[in-house]
Amino acid sequence: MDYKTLKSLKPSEFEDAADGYRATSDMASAAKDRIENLVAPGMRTSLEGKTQEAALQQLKALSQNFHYTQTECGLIATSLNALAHDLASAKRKLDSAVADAQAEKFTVNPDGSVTYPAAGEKTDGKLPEGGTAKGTTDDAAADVYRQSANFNPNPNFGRAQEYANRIAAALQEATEADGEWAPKLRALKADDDLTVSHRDWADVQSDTRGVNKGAKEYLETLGGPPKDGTPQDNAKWWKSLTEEERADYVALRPASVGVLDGLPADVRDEANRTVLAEKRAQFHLELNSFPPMPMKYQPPTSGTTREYREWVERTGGEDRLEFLRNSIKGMDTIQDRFDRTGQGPDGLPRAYLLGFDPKGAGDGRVIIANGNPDTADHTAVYVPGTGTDLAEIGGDLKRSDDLWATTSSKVPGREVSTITWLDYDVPRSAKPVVEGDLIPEASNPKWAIRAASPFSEFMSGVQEAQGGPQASHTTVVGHSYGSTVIGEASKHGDLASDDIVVAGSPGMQTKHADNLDVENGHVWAMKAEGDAVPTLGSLVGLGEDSTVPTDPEFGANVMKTDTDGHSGYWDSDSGRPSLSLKNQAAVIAGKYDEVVLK
Amino acid sequence: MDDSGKEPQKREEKDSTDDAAKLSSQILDIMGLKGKVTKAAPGAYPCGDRDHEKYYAVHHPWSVYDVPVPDMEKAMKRLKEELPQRGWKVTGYGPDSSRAKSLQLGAEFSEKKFKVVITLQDRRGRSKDPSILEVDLGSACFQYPDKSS
Repeated sequence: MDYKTLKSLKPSEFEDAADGYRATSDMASAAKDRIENLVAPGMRTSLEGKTQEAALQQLKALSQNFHYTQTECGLIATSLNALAHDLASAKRKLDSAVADAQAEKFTVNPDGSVTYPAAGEKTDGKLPEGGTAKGTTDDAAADVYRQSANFNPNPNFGRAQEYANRIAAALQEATEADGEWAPKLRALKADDDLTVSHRDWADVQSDTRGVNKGAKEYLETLGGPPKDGTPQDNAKWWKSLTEEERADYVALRPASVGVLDGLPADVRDEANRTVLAEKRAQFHLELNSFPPMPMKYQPPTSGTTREYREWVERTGGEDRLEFLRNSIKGMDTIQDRFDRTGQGPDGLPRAYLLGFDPKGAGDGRVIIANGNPDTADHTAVYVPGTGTDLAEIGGDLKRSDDLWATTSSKVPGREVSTITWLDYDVPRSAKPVVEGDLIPEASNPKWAIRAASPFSEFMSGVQEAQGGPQASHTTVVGHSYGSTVIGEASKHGDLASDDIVVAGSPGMQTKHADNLDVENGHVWAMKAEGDAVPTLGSLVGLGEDSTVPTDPEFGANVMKTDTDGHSGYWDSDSGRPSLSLKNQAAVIAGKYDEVVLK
Repeated sequence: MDDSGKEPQKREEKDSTDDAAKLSSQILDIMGLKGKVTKAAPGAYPCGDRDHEKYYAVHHPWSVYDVPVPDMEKAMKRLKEELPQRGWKVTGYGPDSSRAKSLQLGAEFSEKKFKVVITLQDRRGRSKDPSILEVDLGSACFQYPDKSS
């Protein structure tokens, strides 16, 4: 980077280019959404059989291409913005040094050196000569120049040298920015086949890391979300950014944006979908190239072989394999939900991925909404119970779908959103001996206690994004140990919800419904024929004083059920919702009088 | 319409969902209301505990709303009178077991193997959301025809 180039450089040209890539990214995002939410559902109803399968496969590939384009163009736009930021900073320093030099009538030469005129006290009738100061960025050399300035009879020398040094520093800064960003921008070139492979998505991850490193200073100007901020703080920070700054932040930090309570649902969704695509690719690649397990035992030697131990140390062993397989299964399940958009009699609405992490609190984090909770009239958050994890989340997602359909048909013309919330370390089982635990893990309230704060924060974040407590009628639905989580979160007056529904609850850590953080009369409980969990729960004391929510002394509205067992509350028969399901829908829809009580 | 023990009738799924659409249309006609109707389409679902690759049942849930409640009440009376004239058998007409004691009509069309439950949810004074006439139309189990040729 030479003086002439930096002098005539217009950083705004890079920002304009960034705008172009941003527009392309937005277009790709819109196209991807249209495929998923309009075109694919339309094809499912109008095509059949093998034609439908083939068409949907192609659409899926196209949608992936658009998603990849969206993400990479987003990274390019952010890189160009960060480059423009760095270059603008260098240019400001250059312009300032040049202006100062020219104000003293010095001449800045094409090579960045500064020529100064004769000045100072005459000796022998002559002014001390002028000269040309060549700039240096070397500290030692600069010191030498500073020392010699004290001995130079021309007072201009010292200042000219200073200006030349500042010019040199600005040029070096610009050269460094150029050197930093040129390879990163070159790396953002796609390969020239039309398939977006696992490798391509894995590259997106490393591209993001690279851009993050380069954009460190630029990121600092954006600030970040407040440390330990409340959902309100997070929302405030997000609102303070410009559209462009928000887009750049999402491109650089999709994982942290995706988990920020208080941010709008569509922002979290976009961020988490990028994380999902990247993790899926990363895990597939790792699984495909996993070194095969060596012989574990070699009798008569006792214990495991050395090769096996080394393999475990290097790769993470069977545990890592299980984690990879389970995570991929869970991610496929999430993708299935995206593919179900538009199906069903009422047309399942678009899905919003409000949270995603293969690890989460230990069992993975999956938070998916049917329909946009930010604009919903009635919102429900379903908290699953024992045994739930990312790999097995399919059943819970289906329950949320059924809750959405049944509730929506109760309130035509109104917007409904149902959310599945899995973001806690879930105990393995509520029944003795199942899962190998003589005393079931779920008899211990510690999991619920740990889950209480994240759950509270999540609910508070939804409320914030909706626009406050009056914006939507909200119900939380807890199944089994999920109800214990709700009880814990609610005990300290910290739950942003209007109604609480619990099914098969083993106890809510309190002995009366009025202690929960909803208005009196707004707690609803169910226990089906053949559901042993509430009784087990009262024995181990998850309810205070052995009281569980379906006990009369708890003071909840006990709803009638027509289903069997601990897990039938969301069943339908031949498409017709059970009374158990309809009752939940009645509460979610705020139609309390339409509930059939026991 | 108790089909326990009897082998479900073999019918193409399209024929069964077409039937559902026709019956729903008939019900809507009898109601004679000018309002909004939800756009749900009839769908096929697994039938109870039976093998879902062999058997299915049809379900068609829909509602009418944005109509004054007195008109809905008249529509319920019309249904009670006219459904029998079209081959239906009315199996129940009275308040349901919710606190609202909503008026509910049950009817069967055994020839076509369909049942319907229609509930008038009068929400005046207890909700800002519109009052609705909820229709829940469902069929018995059918069997997918054998794949020949």
